[in-house]
Amino acid sequence: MKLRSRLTNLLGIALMLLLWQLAGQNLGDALLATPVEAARALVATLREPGFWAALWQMMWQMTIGYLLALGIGVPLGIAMGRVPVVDAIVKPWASMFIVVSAAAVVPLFIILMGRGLLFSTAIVFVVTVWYVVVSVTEAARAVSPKLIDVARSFAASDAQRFRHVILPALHPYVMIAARVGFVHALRAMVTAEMFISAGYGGLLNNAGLDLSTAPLFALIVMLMVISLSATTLLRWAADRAAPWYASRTRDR
Amino acid sequence: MTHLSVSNVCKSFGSVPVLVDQSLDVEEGEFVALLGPSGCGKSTLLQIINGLVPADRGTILLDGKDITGRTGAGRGMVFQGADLFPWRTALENVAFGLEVMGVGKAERLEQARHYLHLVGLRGFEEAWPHQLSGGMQQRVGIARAFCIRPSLLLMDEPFGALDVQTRDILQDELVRIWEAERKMVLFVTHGIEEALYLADRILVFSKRPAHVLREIVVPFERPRREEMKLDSTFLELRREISDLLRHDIHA
Ligand SMILES: Nc1ncnc2c1ncn2[C@@H]1O[C@H](COP(=O)(O)OP(=O)(O)OP(=O)(O)O)[C@@H](O)[C@H]1O
Ligand SMILES: [Mg+2]
Repeated sequence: MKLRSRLTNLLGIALMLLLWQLAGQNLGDALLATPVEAARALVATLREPGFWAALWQMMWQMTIGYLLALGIGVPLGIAMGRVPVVDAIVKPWASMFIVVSAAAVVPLFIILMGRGLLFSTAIVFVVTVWYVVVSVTEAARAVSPKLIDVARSFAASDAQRFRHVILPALHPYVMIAARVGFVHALRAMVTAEMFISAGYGGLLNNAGLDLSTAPLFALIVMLMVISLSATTLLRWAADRAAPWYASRTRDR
Repeated sequence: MTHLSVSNVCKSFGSVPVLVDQSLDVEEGEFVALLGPSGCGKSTLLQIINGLVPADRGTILLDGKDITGRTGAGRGMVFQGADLFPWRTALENVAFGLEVMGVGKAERLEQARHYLHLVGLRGFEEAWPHQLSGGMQQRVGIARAFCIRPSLLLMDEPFGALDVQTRDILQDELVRIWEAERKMVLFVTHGIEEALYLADRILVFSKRPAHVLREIVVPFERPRREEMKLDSTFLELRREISDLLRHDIHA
Protein backbone atom coordinates (compact mmCIF):
# COMPACT_ATOMS: atom_id res chain seq x y z
CA MET A 1 0.00 0.00 0.00
CA LYS A 2 2.77 2.36 1.05
CA LEU A 3 4.91 1.35 -1.91
CA ARG A 4 2.01 1.97 -4.21
CA SER A 5 1.39 5.49 -2.95
CA ARG A 6 5.12 6.20 -3.32
CA LEU A 7 4.98 4.98 -6.91
CA THR A 8 1.96 7.17 -7.60
CA ASN A 9 3.89 10.13 -6.18
CA LEU A 10 6.87 9.43 -8.42
CA LEU A 11 4.62 9.04 -11.41
CA GLY A 12 3.04 12.42 -10.70
CA ILE A 13 6.43 14.08 -10.46
CA ALA A 14 7.67 12.44 -13.65
CA LEU A 15 4.55 13.56 -15.49
CA MET A 16 4.97 17.13 -14.30
CA LEU A 17 8.65 17.20 -15.31
CA LEU A 18 7.70 15.92 -18.74
CA LEU A 19 5.07 18.63 -19.22
CA TRP A 20 7.55 21.23 -17.98
CA GLN A 21 10.18 19.97 -20.43
CA LEU A 22 7.76 20.13 -23.36
CA ALA A 23 6.51 23.61 -22.43
CA GLY A 24 10.09 24.82 -21.90
CA GLN A 25 11.20 23.58 -25.28
CA ASN A 26 8.38 25.50 -26.93
CA LEU A 27 8.72 28.76 -25.00
CA GLY A 28 12.51 29.04 -24.86
CA ASP A 29 14.69 29.51 -21.78
CA ALA A 30 14.13 33.27 -21.50
CA LEU A 31 10.53 32.52 -20.53
CA LEU A 32 10.64 29.01 -19.16
CA ALA A 33 13.86 27.07 -18.87
CA THR A 34 13.45 23.32 -19.18
CA PRO A 35 14.14 21.04 -16.19
CA VAL A 36 17.30 19.83 -17.87
CA GLU A 37 18.61 23.39 -18.15
CA ALA A 38 17.51 24.12 -14.58
CA ALA A 39 19.37 21.06 -13.36
CA ARG A 40 22.52 22.18 -15.13
CA ALA A 41 22.17 25.65 -13.63
CA LEU A 42 21.64 24.05 -10.22
CA VAL A 43 24.91 22.18 -10.47
CA ALA A 44 26.67 25.39 -11.47
CA THR A 45 25.07 27.30 -8.60
CA LEU A 46 26.05 24.70 -6.04
CA ARG A 47 29.70 25.13 -7.14
CA GLU A 48 29.67 28.87 -6.34
CA PRO A 49 31.01 29.78 -2.90
CA GLY A 50 28.77 32.87 -2.88
CA PHE A 51 25.73 30.62 -2.94
CA TRP A 52 26.72 28.77 0.22
CA ALA A 53 27.55 31.99 2.03
CA ALA A 54 24.16 33.42 1.10
CA LEU A 55 22.36 30.24 2.09
CA TRP A 56 24.16 30.12 5.43
CA GLN A 57 23.36 33.77 6.16
CA MET A 58 19.71 33.27 5.36
CA MET A 59 19.42 30.10 7.44
CA TRP A 60 20.98 31.32 10.65
CA GLN A 61 19.21 34.67 10.63
CA MET A 62 15.93 32.97 9.91
CA THR A 63 16.51 30.39 12.63
CA ILE A 64 16.89 33.09 15.28
CA GLY A 65 13.56 34.66 14.34
CA TYR A 66 11.90 31.27 14.05
CA LEU A 67 13.09 30.01 17.43
CA LEU A 68 12.03 33.28 19.05
CA ALA A 69 8.60 32.92 17.46
CA LEU A 70 8.25 29.39 18.83
CA GLY A 71 9.69 30.28 22.21
CA ILE A 72 7.21 33.11 22.68
CA GLY A 73 4.33 31.88 20.54
CA VAL A 74 3.89 28.46 22.16
CA PRO A 75 3.65 29.64 25.80
CA LEU A 76 1.52 32.60 24.77
CA GLY A 77 -0.79 30.33 22.78
CA ILE A 78 -1.17 27.93 25.69
CA ALA A 79 -1.91 30.82 28.04
CA MET A 80 -4.51 32.20 25.62
CA GLY A 81 -6.15 28.82 25.21
CA ARG A 82 -6.37 28.14 28.95
CA VAL A 83 -6.73 31.58 30.57
CA PRO A 84 -9.65 33.71 29.31
CA VAL A 85 -8.11 37.00 30.50
CA VAL A 86 -4.96 36.49 28.47
CA ASP A 87 -7.06 35.56 25.49
CA ALA A 88 -9.19 38.69 25.83
CA ILE A 89 -6.10 40.89 25.91
CA VAL A 90 -4.06 39.31 23.13
CA LYS A 91 -6.73 38.00 20.76
CA PRO A 92 -7.49 41.33 19.00
CA TRP A 93 -3.79 41.85 18.26
CA ALA A 94 -3.34 38.30 17.09
CA SER A 95 -6.23 38.47 14.67
CA MET A 96 -5.02 41.82 13.31
CA PHE A 97 -1.39 40.86 12.85
CA ILE A 98 -1.96 37.41 11.45
CA VAL A 99 -3.25 38.87 8.18
CA VAL A 100 -0.17 41.10 7.74
CA SER A 101 2.24 39.59 5.23
CA ALA A 102 5.98 40.10 5.26
CA ALA A 103 5.90 42.29 2.15
CA ALA A 104 3.51 44.71 3.83
CA VAL A 105 5.69 45.40 6.86
CA VAL A 106 9.15 45.31 5.26
CA PRO A 107 9.28 49.01 4.27
CA LEU A 108 8.27 50.10 7.75
CA PHE A 109 10.75 47.75 9.40
CA ILE A 110 13.57 49.03 7.18
CA ILE A 111 12.84 52.56 8.35
CA LEU A 112 12.70 51.45 11.96
CA MET A 113 15.56 48.97 12.09
CA GLY A 114 17.80 49.40 9.11
CA ARG A 115 18.88 46.39 7.07
CA GLY A 116 20.81 44.28 9.53
CA LEU A 117 20.22 41.18 11.60
CA LEU A 118 17.59 42.92 13.72
CA PHE A 119 15.53 43.67 10.64
CA SER A 120 15.45 40.17 9.19
CA THR A 121 14.86 38.36 12.48
CA ALA A 122 12.11 40.83 13.33
CA ILE A 123 10.35 40.20 10.02
CA VAL A 124 10.57 36.43 10.48
CA PHE A 125 9.37 36.77 14.05
CA VAL A 126 6.28 38.90 13.41
CA VAL A 127 5.17 36.80 10.47
CA THR A 128 5.64 33.46 12.25
CA VAL A 129 4.69 34.19 15.84
CA TRP A 130 1.02 34.95 15.22
CA TYR A 131 0.53 31.85 13.21
CA VAL A 132 2.05 29.80 16.06
CA VAL A 133 0.01 31.68 18.67
CA VAL A 134 -3.30 31.16 16.90
CA SER A 135 -2.82 27.48 16.17
CA VAL A 136 -1.53 26.65 19.65
CA THR A 137 -4.42 28.63 21.19
CA GLU A 138 -6.93 26.54 19.28
CA ALA A 139 -5.24 23.32 20.37
CA ALA A 140 -5.00 24.42 24.00
CA ARG A 141 -8.66 25.34 24.08
CA ALA A 142 -9.60 21.95 22.67
CA VAL A 143 -7.81 19.85 25.32
CA SER A 144 -10.39 17.31 26.42
CA PRO A 145 -12.17 18.57 29.55
CA LYS A 146 -12.99 14.95 30.34
CA LEU A 147 -9.35 13.99 30.60
CA ILE A 148 -8.74 17.00 32.80
CA ASP A 149 -11.60 15.75 35.00
CA VAL A 150 -9.98 12.32 35.16
CA ALA A 151 -6.78 13.91 36.40
CA ARG A 152 -8.76 16.02 38.85
CA SER A 153 -10.57 12.97 40.20
CA PHE A 154 -7.16 11.50 41.02
CA ALA A 155 -6.48 14.71 42.96
CA ALA A 156 -3.91 16.05 40.50
CA SER A 157 -2.88 19.61 41.36
CA ASP A 158 -2.98 22.46 38.82
CA ALA A 159 0.69 21.92 38.05
CA GLN A 160 0.20 18.17 37.67
CA ARG A 161 -2.76 18.62 35.35
CA PHE A 162 -0.66 20.97 33.25
CA ARG A 163 2.27 18.61 33.19
CA HIS A 164 0.37 15.34 32.74
CA VAL A 165 -2.64 16.35 30.64
CA ILE A 166 -2.34 19.71 28.93
CA LEU A 167 1.27 19.46 27.79
CA PRO A 168 1.09 15.93 26.36
CA ALA A 169 -2.26 16.70 24.73
CA LEU A 170 -0.72 19.74 23.04
CA HIS A 171 2.48 18.07 22.01
CA PRO A 172 1.44 16.93 18.51
CA TYR A 173 -0.17 20.26 17.73
CA VAL A 174 2.88 22.20 18.83
CA MET A 175 4.95 20.04 16.51
CA ILE A 176 2.56 20.75 13.64
CA ALA A 177 2.73 24.46 14.40
CA ALA A 178 6.52 24.22 14.38
CA ARG A 179 6.44 22.53 11.00
CA VAL A 180 4.07 24.93 9.29
CA GLY A 181 5.70 27.84 11.15
CA PHE A 182 9.01 26.93 9.57
CA VAL A 183 7.56 27.35 6.12
CA HIS A 184 6.10 30.73 7.07
CA ALA A 185 9.45 31.79 8.51
CA LEU A 186 11.39 30.75 5.43
CA ARG A 187 9.01 32.57 3.15
CA ALA A 188 9.19 35.74 5.24
CA MET A 189 12.97 35.58 5.32
CA VAL A 190 13.25 35.30 1.54
CA THR A 191 10.83 38.18 1.04
CA ALA A 192 12.78 40.37 3.45
CA GLU A 193 16.09 39.57 1.76
CA MET A 194 14.67 40.29 -1.65
CA PHE A 195 13.63 43.76 -0.50
CA ILE A 196 17.10 44.62 0.73
CA SER A 197 18.82 42.56 -1.98
CA ALA A 198 20.96 40.66 0.49
CA GLY A 199 21.79 37.00 1.03
CA TYR A 200 19.68 34.40 -0.72
CA GLY A 201 17.01 36.94 -1.60
CA GLY A 202 19.70 38.98 -3.31
CA LEU A 203 20.72 35.93 -5.36
CA LEU A 204 17.10 35.49 -6.39
CA ASN A 205 16.93 39.15 -7.44
CA ASN A 206 20.06 38.81 -9.55
CA ALA A 207 18.91 35.59 -11.11
CA GLY A 208 15.66 37.34 -12.05
CA LEU A 209 17.67 39.78 -14.16
CA ASP A 210 19.46 36.98 -15.98
CA LEU A 211 18.61 36.32 -19.62
CA SER A 212 17.83 32.70 -18.87
CA THR A 213 15.30 31.61 -16.25
CA ALA A 214 17.35 28.48 -15.49
CA PRO A 215 19.42 29.92 -12.56
CA LEU A 216 16.23 31.30 -10.99
CA PHE A 217 14.61 27.88 -11.15
CA ALA A 218 17.72 26.36 -9.63
CA LEU A 219 17.47 28.70 -6.63
CA ILE A 220 13.74 28.04 -6.22
CA VAL A 221 14.31 24.30 -6.33
CA MET A 222 16.93 24.65 -3.59
CA LEU A 223 14.42 26.54 -1.44
CA MET A 224 11.93 23.72 -1.90
CA VAL A 225 14.57 21.17 -0.96
CA ILE A 226 15.41 23.09 2.22
CA SER A 227 11.78 23.45 3.22
CA LEU A 228 11.03 19.79 2.52
CA SER A 229 14.04 18.49 4.40
CA ALA A 230 13.33 20.71 7.39
CA THR A 231 9.69 19.67 7.61
CA THR A 232 10.64 16.01 7.18
CA LEU A 233 13.18 16.35 9.96
CA LEU A 234 10.64 18.05 12.21
CA ARG A 235 8.08 15.38 11.48
CA TRP A 236 10.58 12.69 12.33
CA ALA A 237 11.43 14.47 15.59
CA ALA A 238 7.73 14.77 16.42
CA ASP A 239 7.15 11.07 15.82
CA ARG A 240 10.08 10.20 18.03
CA ALA A 241 8.86 12.47 20.82
CA ALA A 242 5.19 11.43 20.67
CA PRO A 243 5.14 7.76 19.63
CA TRP A 244 1.50 7.40 20.71
CA TYR A 245 0.43 10.03 18.22
CA ALA A 246 2.63 8.64 15.46
CA SER A 247 1.24 5.17 16.05
CA ARG A 248 -2.34 6.39 16.14
CA THR A 249 -2.08 8.35 12.92
CA ARG A 250 -0.12 5.61 11.18
CA ASP A 251 -2.53 2.82 12.10
CA ARG A 252 -5.40 4.69 10.57
CA MET B 1 -14.06 0.48 59.60
CA THR B 2 -14.85 2.26 56.36
CA HIS B 3 -18.06 4.05 55.78
CA LEU B 4 -19.52 6.58 53.38
CA SER B 5 -22.09 8.99 54.61
CA VAL B 6 -23.75 11.49 52.30
CA SER B 7 -26.09 13.87 54.09
CA ASN B 8 -28.54 16.45 52.83
CA VAL B 9 -26.82 17.15 49.54
CA CYS B 10 -28.59 19.78 47.41
CA LYS B 11 -27.69 20.79 43.91
CA SER B 12 -29.33 22.99 41.29
CA PHE B 13 -28.13 23.91 37.86
CA GLY B 14 -29.45 27.43 37.39
CA SER B 15 -33.02 27.30 38.57
CA VAL B 16 -33.36 23.56 37.96
CA PRO B 17 -33.13 21.55 41.18
CA VAL B 18 -31.41 18.24 40.46
CA LEU B 19 -30.73 16.94 43.96
CA VAL B 20 -32.82 17.94 46.96
CA ASP B 21 -31.71 16.88 50.43
CA GLN B 22 -30.18 13.68 49.17
CA SER B 23 -28.75 11.35 51.79
CA LEU B 24 -27.31 7.88 51.59
CA ASP B 25 -24.98 5.60 53.50
CA VAL B 26 -22.71 2.83 52.33
CA GLU B 27 -21.29 0.31 54.78
CA GLU B 28 -17.89 -1.31 54.66
CA GLY B 29 -17.52 -3.70 51.75
CA GLU B 30 -20.97 -2.92 50.41
CA PHE B 31 -21.82 -2.83 46.71
CA VAL B 32 -24.61 -0.33 46.06
CA ALA B 33 -26.22 0.16 42.66
CA LEU B 34 -28.02 3.36 41.69
CA LEU B 35 -30.85 2.98 39.22
CA GLY B 36 -33.02 5.74 37.84
CA PRO B 37 -34.42 7.42 34.76
CA SER B 38 -32.11 9.31 32.45
CA GLY B 39 -31.39 12.86 33.59
CA CYS B 40 -32.51 12.32 37.19
CA GLY B 41 -29.15 13.30 38.66
CA LYS B 42 -27.23 10.06 39.25
CA SER B 43 -24.05 11.25 37.55
CA THR B 44 -24.33 14.55 39.36
CA LEU B 45 -24.55 12.78 42.70
CA LEU B 46 -21.55 10.62 41.87
CA GLN B 47 -19.51 13.62 40.78
CA ILE B 48 -20.39 15.48 43.95
CA ILE B 49 -19.19 12.51 45.98
CA ASN B 50 -16.09 12.39 43.80
CA GLY B 51 -15.52 16.09 44.39
CA LEU B 52 -15.59 17.05 40.71
CA VAL B 53 -18.81 19.03 41.09
CA PRO B 54 -19.45 21.27 44.10
CA ALA B 55 -22.66 20.72 46.04
CA ASP B 56 -24.81 23.70 46.99
CA ARG B 57 -25.32 22.25 50.43
CA GLY B 58 -24.70 19.07 52.38
CA THR B 59 -21.71 17.08 53.56
CA ILE B 60 -19.90 13.95 52.49
CA LEU B 61 -18.04 11.94 55.10
CA LEU B 62 -15.67 9.15 54.14
CA ASP B 63 -14.33 7.09 57.04
CA GLY B 64 -15.34 9.93 59.32
CA LYS B 65 -13.41 12.57 57.38
CA ASP B 66 -15.19 15.48 55.75
CA ILE B 67 -14.27 15.32 52.08
CA THR B 68 -16.97 17.62 50.71
CA GLY B 69 -15.77 19.45 47.63
CA ARG B 70 -12.37 17.74 47.54
CA THR B 71 -11.15 15.15 45.06
CA GLY B 72 -8.85 12.23 45.70
CA ALA B 73 -8.60 10.93 49.28
CA GLY B 74 -9.71 7.32 49.11
CA ARG B 75 -11.96 7.48 46.09
CA GLY B 76 -11.37 5.85 42.72
CA MET B 77 -13.54 6.71 39.74
CA VAL B 78 -14.25 4.58 36.68
CA PHE B 79 -15.56 6.70 33.83
CA GLN B 80 -18.14 5.63 31.28
CA GLY B 81 -15.93 5.88 28.23
CA ALA B 82 -12.84 4.63 30.11
CA ASP B 83 -11.28 8.01 29.25
CA LEU B 84 -7.71 6.78 29.18
CA PHE B 85 -4.86 9.16 28.48
CA PRO B 86 -3.95 8.46 24.84
CA TRP B 87 -0.31 9.44 25.43
CA ARG B 88 0.20 6.86 28.14
CA THR B 89 0.60 3.15 27.63
CA ALA B 90 -1.90 0.86 29.36
CA LEU B 91 0.57 0.36 32.21
CA GLU B 92 1.28 4.08 32.60
CA ASN B 93 -2.45 4.79 32.60
CA VAL B 94 -2.96 2.39 35.49
CA ALA B 95 -0.04 3.98 37.34
CA PHE B 96 -1.39 7.51 36.91
CA GLY B 97 -3.01 7.85 40.33
CA LEU B 98 0.12 6.67 42.11
CA GLU B 99 2.27 9.02 40.07
CA VAL B 100 0.09 11.94 41.13
CA MET B 101 0.51 10.80 44.73
CA GLY B 102 4.26 10.94 44.30
CA VAL B 103 4.97 7.18 44.40
CA GLY B 104 8.34 6.34 42.85
CA LYS B 105 8.50 4.94 39.34
CA ALA B 106 9.60 1.37 40.05
CA GLU B 107 7.08 1.00 42.84
CA ARG B 108 4.12 2.42 40.95
CA LEU B 109 4.81 0.41 37.80
CA GLU B 110 5.00 -2.76 39.84
CA GLN B 111 1.66 -2.01 41.46
CA ALA B 112 0.16 -1.08 38.10
CA ARG B 113 1.40 -4.31 36.56
CA HIS B 114 -0.30 -6.25 39.34
CA TYR B 115 -3.67 -4.61 38.65
CA LEU B 116 -3.30 -4.81 34.89
CA HIS B 117 -2.76 -8.55 35.24
CA LEU B 118 -5.69 -8.75 37.62
CA VAL B 119 -8.03 -7.39 34.93
CA GLY B 120 -6.64 -9.93 32.48
CA LEU B 121 -4.41 -7.71 30.38
CA ARG B 122 -1.10 -9.46 30.80
CA GLY B 123 1.01 -8.73 27.73
CA PHE B 124 -0.69 -5.40 26.99
CA GLU B 125 1.48 -3.30 29.30
CA GLU B 126 3.03 -1.32 26.48
CA ALA B 127 -0.07 -1.01 24.30
CA TRP B 128 -1.43 2.44 23.50
CA PRO B 129 -5.10 2.95 24.36
CA HIS B 130 -6.09 3.26 20.71
CA GLN B 131 -4.73 -0.22 20.13
CA LEU B 132 -7.16 -1.70 22.69
CA SER B 133 -10.80 -2.63 22.16
CA GLY B 134 -13.52 -0.81 24.08
CA GLY B 135 -13.77 -3.64 26.59
CA MET B 136 -10.02 -3.73 27.11
CA GLN B 137 -9.93 0.03 27.58
CA GLN B 138 -12.59 -0.27 30.25
CA ARG B 139 -10.53 -2.95 32.00
CA VAL B 140 -7.61 -0.52 32.08
CA GLY B 141 -9.99 2.11 33.48
CA ILE B 142 -11.01 -0.29 36.25
CA ALA B 143 -7.39 -1.20 37.00
CA ARG B 144 -6.54 2.50 37.12
CA ALA B 145 -9.18 3.09 39.78
CA PHE B 146 -8.19 0.00 41.81
CA CYS B 147 -4.49 0.84 41.68
CA ILE B 148 -4.75 3.66 44.19
CA ARG B 149 -6.45 1.21 46.62
CA PRO B 150 -9.44 3.45 47.27
CA SER B 151 -11.84 2.61 50.05
CA LEU B 152 -14.68 3.79 47.80
CA LEU B 153 -15.06 2.96 44.14
CA LEU B 154 -17.32 5.18 42.02
CA MET B 155 -18.53 3.78 38.72
CA ASP B 156 -20.76 5.74 36.35
CA GLU B 157 -22.27 3.35 33.82
CA PRO B 158 -18.86 1.75 33.30
CA PHE B 159 -20.21 -0.87 30.91
CA GLY B 160 -22.85 1.31 29.26
CA ALA B 161 -20.94 1.67 26.01
CA LEU B 162 -20.11 -2.03 25.62
CA ASP B 163 -21.88 -4.81 23.77
CA VAL B 164 -23.88 -7.36 25.76
CA GLN B 165 -21.33 -10.19 25.69
CA THR B 166 -18.42 -7.98 26.71
CA ARG B 167 -20.57 -6.47 29.42
CA ASP B 168 -21.40 -9.91 30.85
CA ILE B 169 -17.74 -10.85 30.90
CA LEU B 170 -16.69 -7.61 32.53
CA GLN B 171 -19.42 -7.90 35.16
CA ASP B 172 -18.00 -11.25 36.21
CA GLU B 173 -14.48 -9.84 36.18
CA LEU B 174 -15.54 -6.92 38.33
CA VAL B 175 -17.21 -9.21 40.85
CA ARG B 176 -14.13 -11.42 40.95
CA ILE B 177 -11.74 -8.52 41.55
CA TRP B 178 -14.07 -6.91 44.01
CA GLU B 179 -14.47 -10.12 46.00
CA ALA B 180 -10.70 -10.32 46.30
CA GLU B 181 -10.50 -6.69 47.43
CA ARG B 182 -13.79 -5.76 49.03
CA LYS B 183 -14.37 -2.05 49.03
CA MET B 184 -17.41 0.16 48.98
CA VAL B 185 -18.83 0.57 45.51
CA LEU B 186 -21.34 3.04 44.13
CA PHE B 187 -22.36 1.77 40.73
CA VAL B 188 -24.63 3.80 38.44
CA THR B 189 -26.41 1.78 35.78
CA HIS B 190 -29.47 1.62 33.57
CA GLY B 191 -29.41 -2.16 33.62
CA ILE B 192 -31.82 -3.65 36.14
CA GLU B 193 -30.31 -7.10 35.65
CA GLU B 194 -26.85 -5.70 36.03
CA ALA B 195 -27.82 -4.03 39.30
CA LEU B 196 -29.42 -7.22 40.65
CA TYR B 197 -26.50 -9.33 39.57
CA LEU B 198 -23.79 -7.11 41.07
CA ALA B 199 -25.18 -5.24 44.03
CA ASP B 200 -25.93 -5.94 47.67
CA ARG B 201 -28.37 -3.09 47.70
CA ILE B 202 -30.17 -1.12 44.99
CA LEU B 203 -31.38 2.45 45.29
CA VAL B 204 -34.10 3.22 42.75
CA PHE B 205 -34.30 6.94 42.05
CA SER B 206 -37.26 8.96 40.84
CA LYS B 207 -37.11 11.39 37.97
CA ARG B 208 -35.65 14.84 38.60
CA PRO B 209 -35.28 16.12 41.31
CA ALA B 210 -34.07 12.72 42.36
CA HIS B 211 -35.21 11.04 45.53
CA VAL B 212 -35.05 7.39 46.47
CA LEU B 213 -38.26 5.66 45.41
CA ARG B 214 -37.34 2.33 46.86
CA GLU B 215 -34.42 0.66 48.52
CA ILE B 216 -34.01 -3.00 47.65
CA VAL B 217 -31.74 -5.36 49.55
CA VAL B 218 -30.68 -8.00 47.05
CA PRO B 219 -31.25 -11.38 48.70
CA PHE B 220 -28.85 -13.49 46.62
CA GLU B 221 -25.78 -15.14 48.05
CA ARG B 222 -22.27 -14.58 46.89
CA PRO B 223 -20.48 -15.69 44.85
CA ARG B 224 -23.12 -14.83 42.29
CA ARG B 225 -23.71 -17.15 39.34
CA GLU B 226 -25.07 -16.70 35.89
CA GLU B 227 -27.93 -19.15 36.69
CA MET B 228 -29.44 -16.79 39.24
CA LYS B 229 -30.69 -14.67 36.37
CA LEU B 230 -33.29 -17.39 35.79
CA ASP B 231 -34.27 -17.65 39.45
CA SER B 232 -37.93 -16.75 40.11
CA THR B 233 -37.03 -14.21 42.84
CA PHE B 234 -34.65 -12.55 40.41
CA LEU B 235 -37.31 -12.29 37.73
CA GLU B 236 -39.83 -11.01 40.22
CA LEU B 237 -37.50 -8.29 41.50
CA ARG B 238 -36.65 -7.35 37.96
CA ARG B 239 -40.32 -6.93 37.10
CA GLU B 240 -40.94 -4.96 40.27
CA ILE B 241 -38.14 -2.47 39.61
CA SER B 242 -39.12 -2.15 35.99
CA ASP B 243 -42.72 -1.34 36.99
CA LEU B 244 -41.50 1.11 39.58
CA LEU B 245 -39.47 3.05 37.05
CA ARG B 246 -42.16 2.98 34.39
CA HIS B 247 -44.79 4.09 36.84
CA ASP B 248 -42.65 6.99 38.05
CA ILE B 249 -42.02 8.30 34.57
CA HIS B 250 -45.73 8.46 33.80
CA ALA B 251 -46.65 9.80 37.23
N1 LIG C 1 -23.05 21.13 34.03
C1 LIG C 1 -24.40 21.17 33.97
N2 LIG C 1 -25.04 22.33 33.69
C2 LIG C 1 -26.37 22.38 33.63
N3 LIG C 1 -27.17 21.33 33.82
C3 LIG C 1 -26.61 20.15 34.10
C4 LIG C 1 -25.20 20.00 34.19
N4 LIG C 1 -24.93 18.71 34.45
C5 LIG C 1 -26.12 18.08 34.55
N5 LIG C 1 -27.13 18.93 34.33
C6 LIG C 1 -28.54 18.59 34.40
O1 LIG C 1 -28.77 17.90 35.59
C7 LIG C 1 -29.67 16.84 35.37
C8 LIG C 1 -29.09 15.55 35.89
O2 LIG C 1 -27.98 15.18 35.09
P1 LIG C 1 -27.17 13.86 35.35
O3 LIG C 1 -26.09 13.79 34.34
O4 LIG C 1 -26.79 13.78 36.77
O5 LIG C 1 -28.27 12.75 35.05
P2 LIG C 1 -28.13 11.17 35.08
O6 LIG C 1 -29.08 10.67 36.10
O7 LIG C 1 -26.72 10.78 35.22
O8 LIG C 1 -28.66 10.78 33.65
P3 LIG C 1 -28.19 9.60 32.68
O9 LIG C 1 -28.77 8.36 33.25
O10 LIG C 1 -28.79 9.94 31.38
O11 LIG C 1 -26.70 9.62 32.67
C9 LIG C 1 -30.00 16.82 33.90
O12 LIG C 1 -31.26 17.38 33.72
C10 LIG C 1 -28.94 17.68 33.28
O13 LIG C 1 -29.48 18.40 32.20
MG1 LIG D 1 -25.27 9.91 33.91
